[in-house]
Amino acid sequence: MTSNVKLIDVSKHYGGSSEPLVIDRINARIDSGDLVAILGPSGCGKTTVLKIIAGLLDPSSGDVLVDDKSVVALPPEHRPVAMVLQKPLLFPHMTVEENIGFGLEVRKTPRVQIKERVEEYLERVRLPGFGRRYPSELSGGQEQRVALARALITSPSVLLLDEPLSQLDANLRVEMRELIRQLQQDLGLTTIFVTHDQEEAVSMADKIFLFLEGKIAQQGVARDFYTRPATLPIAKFFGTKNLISGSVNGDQFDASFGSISLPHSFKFRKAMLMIRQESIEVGLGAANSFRGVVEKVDYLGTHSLVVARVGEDKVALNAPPYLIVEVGSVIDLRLPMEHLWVVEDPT
Amino acid sequence: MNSVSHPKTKLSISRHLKILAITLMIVLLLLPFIALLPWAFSKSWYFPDLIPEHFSLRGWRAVLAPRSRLIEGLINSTLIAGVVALVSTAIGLFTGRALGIHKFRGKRTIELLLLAPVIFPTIAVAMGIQVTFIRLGLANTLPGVMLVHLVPTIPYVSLVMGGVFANYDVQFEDQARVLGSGPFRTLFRITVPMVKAGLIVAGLFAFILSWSEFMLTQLIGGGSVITLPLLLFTFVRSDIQMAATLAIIYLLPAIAVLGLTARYMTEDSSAVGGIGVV
Repeated sequence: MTSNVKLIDVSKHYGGSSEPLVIDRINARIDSGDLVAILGPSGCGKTTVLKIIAGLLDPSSGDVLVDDKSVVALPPEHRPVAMVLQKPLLFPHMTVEENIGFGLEVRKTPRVQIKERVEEYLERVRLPGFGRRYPSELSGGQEQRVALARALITSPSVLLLDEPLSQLDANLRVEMRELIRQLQQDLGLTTIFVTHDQEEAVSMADKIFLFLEGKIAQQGVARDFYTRPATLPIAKFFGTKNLISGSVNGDQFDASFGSISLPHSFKFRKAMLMIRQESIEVGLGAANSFRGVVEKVDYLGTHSLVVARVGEDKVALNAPPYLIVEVGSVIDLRLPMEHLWVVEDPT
Repeated sequence: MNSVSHPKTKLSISRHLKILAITLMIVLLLLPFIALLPWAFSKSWYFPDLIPEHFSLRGWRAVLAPRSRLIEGLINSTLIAGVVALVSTAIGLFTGRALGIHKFRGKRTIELLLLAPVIFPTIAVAMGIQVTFIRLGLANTLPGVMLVHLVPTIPYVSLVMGGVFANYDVQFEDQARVLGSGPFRTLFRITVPMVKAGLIVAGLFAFILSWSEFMLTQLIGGGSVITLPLLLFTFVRSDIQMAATLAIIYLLPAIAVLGLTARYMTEDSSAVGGIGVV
């Protein structure tokens, strides 16, 4: 029952064609059975994409395919998708039972069958016995789970989730995250969810589409975004602290404090060398070793966050917790070649 | 000490003022109705008697006699007000939704235009409509009167519903659509139940407006459509006992409606939002 989704050159602007594009020629392929995250800061057009797939918005141009069939001409109720919006939006005049059964009632499923299925899905979202309650009697997390059950019960080919966890508090969020992931895998359901929380995207998704300013800035598995960001803004979005300016010279990078060997050559010149703070090693090595002066130390239990001045640059690194580092002392750092990455410096 | 006791006195003064205002309001509102009772249950009531000398049911007998056309008036009034309430509420559901939810250019102008029939003197509005209705054969007919009653009720109902929809989240409809519900089902299964309290209040308002309409009924009905206010007007000039009796009968539904509205207004605060707009 599960399906793949393709977006082909999808663009959207509100109002006249002179208005700026909210999303700009999006091309994406979501494989059957995958859990895919659309990640981006607020206002980058990610919810717009979801609403276009659901049929709540028409694209200004482009096409949306589900199982290689175009769905853009279909009204939302005829698309093989179900969507959970940001707020739970449980219909206040219906009980939990009626809310969950709504999608089946609409499809004229016999009453007995609806009752059975509602029971099954109450179980699935771990709310057995809650059927007779009204939404006003539920907590935020319970409401969100009912909303999820209400969407899942319609057996959609594609499930769309718009920031389903953003209104929950931290520990509930982790619980819901696991529940969604588990249900998605049990049902083998193609799922697209929108989030601004990179941790959420990284922990849940098979594949991430990073949206910046209405465009897909990068797509791939979570690890790529941390270690191989395509551009400087992506590196910054994923919290890279170490961005050292300099220039690329073949497979060498010239920084203020010396020359560093790169794993391979990069095609741009003016660039930023990046390395995750957790990849820097303390101690001297054969290559790419430099001496710095410790400027700041924060002991965090599992590690110490150390900031050292190397030449004119500052380098942040995670030192092992047993290593006693003092401000003002000299520290030797090694930048392992395999963890180095370079992004173009657009300035 | 002085600065502490001062606000206290102020508070109790405002409290007293409030009680006084409420009492005054109730007295002023009820006094005319109380005056109806002696008229309705007496043969005559002359100055300087404080209460009538002779108790009598003459007024009631006269009003309930077939000659008074009370039954006809009652049926017409109920029928007209009922239909007008239903139709204007159905229209108000959509106009109110548009006013409450959408932001569009010229919205203020449209709101003002909606109020126009209420602002302009009824007679000016009715005169223009009468000419058209005569041409269309709607003058002097029940449907004609119903139609013309919509002129003042639709603005009220639209504004009440506009207020209700201003506090309404249209995403509930989106949610229903993505769960497989078509536009019609979404309207009746989601939108209408969610604004039900507002619809009832608006409908009762429309009922009362139509129930008490005199000028429009007189002009468009042309005397062939008899409603309670028309009868009342005739009796006021000819027979004060009958007029007082009829006024009591005429008031009962209004009081019932007021009671019902009050219940719905306190029951669901979202419905009250609409009243604030008017």
